[in-house]
Amino acid sequence: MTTLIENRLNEIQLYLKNEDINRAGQRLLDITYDFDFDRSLRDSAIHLRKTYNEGKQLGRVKNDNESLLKDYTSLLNTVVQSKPVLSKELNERKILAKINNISKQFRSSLHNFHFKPISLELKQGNIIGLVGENGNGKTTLLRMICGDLATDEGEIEYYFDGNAYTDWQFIKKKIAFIPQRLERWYGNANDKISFEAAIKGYTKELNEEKVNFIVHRMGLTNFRELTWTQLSSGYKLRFEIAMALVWEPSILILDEPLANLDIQAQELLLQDLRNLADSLRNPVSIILSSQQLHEVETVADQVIFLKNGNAVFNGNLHDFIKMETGVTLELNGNFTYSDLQKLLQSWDAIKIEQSASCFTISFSEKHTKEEFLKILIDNKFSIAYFRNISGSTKKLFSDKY
Amino acid sequence: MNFALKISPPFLRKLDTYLRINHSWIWTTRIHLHIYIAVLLSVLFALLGLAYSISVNNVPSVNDQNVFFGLLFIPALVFLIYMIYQMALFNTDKSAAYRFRYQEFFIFLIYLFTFFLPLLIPYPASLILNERISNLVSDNELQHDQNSLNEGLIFFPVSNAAFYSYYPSDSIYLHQFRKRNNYDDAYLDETENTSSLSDSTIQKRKEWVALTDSIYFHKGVFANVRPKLYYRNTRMWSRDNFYNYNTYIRAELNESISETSLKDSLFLLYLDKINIVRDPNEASKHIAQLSETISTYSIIKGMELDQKAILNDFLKHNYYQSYCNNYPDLSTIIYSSIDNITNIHRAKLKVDIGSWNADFLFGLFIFIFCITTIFQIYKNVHWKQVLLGAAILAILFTLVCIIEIVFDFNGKFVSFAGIFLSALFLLASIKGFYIKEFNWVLNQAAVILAFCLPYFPLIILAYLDQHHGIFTISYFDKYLEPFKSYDGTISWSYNREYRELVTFIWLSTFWGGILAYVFIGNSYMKTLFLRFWSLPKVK
Repeated sequence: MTTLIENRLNEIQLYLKNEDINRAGQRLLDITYDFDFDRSLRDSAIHLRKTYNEGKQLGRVKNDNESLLKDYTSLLNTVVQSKPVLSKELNERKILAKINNISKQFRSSLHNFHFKPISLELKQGNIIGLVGENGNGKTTLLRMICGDLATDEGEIEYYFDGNAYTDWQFIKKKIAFIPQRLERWYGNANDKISFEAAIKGYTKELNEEKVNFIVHRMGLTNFRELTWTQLSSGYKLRFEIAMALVWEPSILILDEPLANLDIQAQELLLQDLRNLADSLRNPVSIILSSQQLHEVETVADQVIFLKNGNAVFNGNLHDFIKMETGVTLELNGNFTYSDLQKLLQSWDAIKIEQSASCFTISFSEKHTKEEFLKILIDNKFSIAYFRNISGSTKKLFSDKY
Repeated sequence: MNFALKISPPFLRKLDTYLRINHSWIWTTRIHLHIYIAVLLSVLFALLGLAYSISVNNVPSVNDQNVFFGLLFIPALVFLIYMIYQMALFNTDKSAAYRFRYQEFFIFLIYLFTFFLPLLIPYPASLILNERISNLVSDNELQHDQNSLNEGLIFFPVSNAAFYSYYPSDSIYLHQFRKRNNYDDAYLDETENTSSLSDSTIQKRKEWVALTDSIYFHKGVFANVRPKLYYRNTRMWSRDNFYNYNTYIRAELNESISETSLKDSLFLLYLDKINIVRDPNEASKHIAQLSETISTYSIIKGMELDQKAILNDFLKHNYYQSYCNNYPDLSTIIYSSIDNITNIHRAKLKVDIGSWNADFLFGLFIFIFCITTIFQIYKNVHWKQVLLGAAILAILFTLVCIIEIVFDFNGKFVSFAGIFLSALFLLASIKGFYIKEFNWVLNQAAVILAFCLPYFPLIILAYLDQHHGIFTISYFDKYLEPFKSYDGTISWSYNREYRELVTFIWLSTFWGGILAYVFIGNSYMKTLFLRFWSLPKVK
């Protein structure tokens, strides 16, 4: 356990050294909530985080940053000196739900869809990324897990505290589902978060504490007084996540959460999700669907790739890399489809696909990516974009799979 | 920020925050904001009540006050719509919130109270207006003016129309005359042997006969001048309304007017003064008093009445071409005075405040109870399911009524269908506790059941009455009484006590159903709806 605490503290020290006040502030806030600290320490962490967030809106000048850095360093020293103790025994992460061969079939006169049997386990602190093209069953799977859609076959067993639960009223008190199309809420964002916490049993001082933590932690300080109509799509989603996280659900399900976010916001959100899953106090199990494969793959412990309702891959990325022996690359440059075909006509199992932004090239493990790049350079083609997706499930989009 | 919060004082904002954080189930009902707005509107309306222009010669009539009250209802209805919108915004149960047992019971009562609020808002304005009217003159002053009206109006024949029904009956006059002169024994049977009667009795009878002859056959003392009578059985417009000023008030108060009550009223006084005593001094005094009264209350000011001419008309029995009939504005002056005095009198009695009768209040309660039930259902299910439930219920009701009318089941099919369908929906709802997937048919059955459940005991009683004659079982025989018809035959029928008992049973069953729903049925439906809401859907 000591190592875990030290790791956390080292991580924060590193952020401070690199003057990354944002990450340092977030992680320091996390640590004050994960470990049993004095209340004043938490308040200080929240206060600093709030100051940082407010400064962002005001256009913080360098002096303010320096002052904040100083304050954060001082706070970190206090944390180190107070010798944090773990709030509870950190056991092996518990299994929250077991999904056994669930399937679903939709029949209509125009379209039939069969979601084929799938099994998986939701563990505390795990993130499962659900990827696949549109209409391949991602939302169907998420809806079945959160209890919004009944399964045709198979079953889902929920455990939470070790006991098996079948009462949906209880189960739904433990699961937060954020759909792709968000439902409108009323009043200002802060009040709504406070309300969501209150109806789940967080009242009195605890309510205020939880709301402040989540709002400042997620960088929403400057937007908390805004209403639904005043918020951008990205912030609507972030507030929705805050509303879900404030009551500490055991399972967090997000359907396409990255769809409306800019690149920076996507990375911030994924990092936040990773941190929340790693929380010691409430290691939430997260399952999210997305089209942003690379981004999801960086934070997910497990990836499920759905194709025509079938999980063509269901496991962690290491397994995928071991399983897949061929090479798949994405690239773009001043060459055409026919140029590539001519260059690679003698290669084994070559497959070239062209999309609007790039070419996706697959070939057997007999050749290497270095060889391929050398050919291009030798033929004086310039490369504008290159990415090795051999170990990424993105290659599963290809017709080959 | 919520509109109501924007215009609210700091303490209410604090209360709002406190409720949101600590008692979110109350917060979602928005009751604190609704009470606040209701108070604001009431104060605003009360100011309107203060601003309403009134004076002793321009007192708002009942209709004027009703229009004023009705106009105030328009913003109250807008407020009702705003309230419903606000109450619909937040829902704790659909969000799988933590809840305490019987929470829905308190929520139901809050909703019930909330829906009553708009009806209460216009009342302060009405109360203030009423209070202002009642304070226009003191009680003693009003009593004095009313007496002036009562005693003086008989001398003012304002229209020839007043005499169209002149002499509808002489019997009252005769009766009074007889009583006054101790002629009670004058009604002796003419076939009776008069030898046994005293001389004085025989004398009285002779006088009585002479009197009746003079009236009915225009002989003797009343040959040319007939006594001035004002009594009529119908309450058509005529001069009797004047002398009957007191009865006019009584009619407005829904008090019964009978001949007996008339005898005890000022009628006797009028009869004496006008027809029997006919004292000129007395008459001139009352004419003078009334002239003063109507100059205060009349809508037309500054009019000088020729009191001598009125007195002369009275003394000469001049009713047709009198001063009053030649003065066209006099009726306006008198009627407006009567109206103003009457309206002040009503205001003092507060007859227009809370004058809703029991039936109206009962209907109002049922209406608000229905709205509350529907809103409670809406909070538990999707709004489309509420509408569909109402539509199905309407279709079922129509079908049952059509079958009942076409096949002429004498009301039996309606009661049978009522109990059959209610039992069917109740059984379907029980099945809802055992399903594992959402079933829209069972859910819809539960919605319809929630509509019907408060009236379930009433439906059962109707069935027992229609099909098993529960109110004619031997237990009720003790309430049977013999009834003799015109042809002498005797039949048995239930007495008044029985009818009261049966009415009591029906009412008790009704209220029992309502209370049972509020205390038990509501919780049952809530548990069921929460279960339906949590179940996974098929699609």
